[in-house]
Amino acid sequence: MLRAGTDQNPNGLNVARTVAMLFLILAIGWIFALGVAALVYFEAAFPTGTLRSFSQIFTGWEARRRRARRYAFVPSIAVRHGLGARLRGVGHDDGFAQDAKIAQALRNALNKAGVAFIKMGPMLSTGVDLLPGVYIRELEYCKPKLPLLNRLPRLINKISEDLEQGRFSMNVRVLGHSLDRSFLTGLFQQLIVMLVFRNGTDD
Amino acid sequence: MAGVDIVVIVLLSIAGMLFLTLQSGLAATVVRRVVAVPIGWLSSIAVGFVMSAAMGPSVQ
Repeated sequence: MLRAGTDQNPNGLNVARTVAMLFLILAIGWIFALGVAALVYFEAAFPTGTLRSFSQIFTGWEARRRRARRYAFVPSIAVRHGLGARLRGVGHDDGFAQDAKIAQALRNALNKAGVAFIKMGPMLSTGVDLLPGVYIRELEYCKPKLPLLNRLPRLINKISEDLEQGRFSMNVRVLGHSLDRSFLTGLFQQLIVMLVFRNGTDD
Repeated sequence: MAGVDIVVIVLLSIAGMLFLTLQSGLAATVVRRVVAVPIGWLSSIAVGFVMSAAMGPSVQ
């Protein structure tokens, strides 16, 4: 553009200085706009902070391995409970019996996959306008299989009854509370919350 | 003459680096204001370099 506007381009374009200057401004503006567009595209495709740094290639393999195992574990539960064909999208639909079977398999898989998935069951079961009735009925019964925790309420009842009926006397105070039914029930609830939030699994 | 050439090359390099930094910073600032997210310096400099490379022939 400088050559075209200063008569230094004998075999090519020769224009007035003002025109050359306007073209130059236009060209710089376009280049800048395209650069900004490219930067926006790169930011959308690879947001800053999401790419691994060089040092991260050598660290964090243990966490990556644990995560990969968990990612593989969840589909394996689904496959073990007969949902493999559905995951691959090759299952064939042959009516109500098949739906009931799949719904039951889904409930079993969710129960086995851990607390976070068990919570999904009752949540999904509220979507009566989204899921068929057979799925709603099955998902309503999602509950964790926690052998110890399932036995605890009965144990608490037994101890409370024994205490109330005076089968054995226990004059114990724990942190200022007397050992009675309400204290034991509260303790049980605290235990559940602690287990669920600490572990996240039913182990 | 060789000494003068070296000085010219060094001065041109410094000017180029300054222009590249200015261009990258300006583009990054504009994008940061447009999309309201922080922009990485590496991508800013890469795009700034391409922009500078395209502007050179256009200005000449």
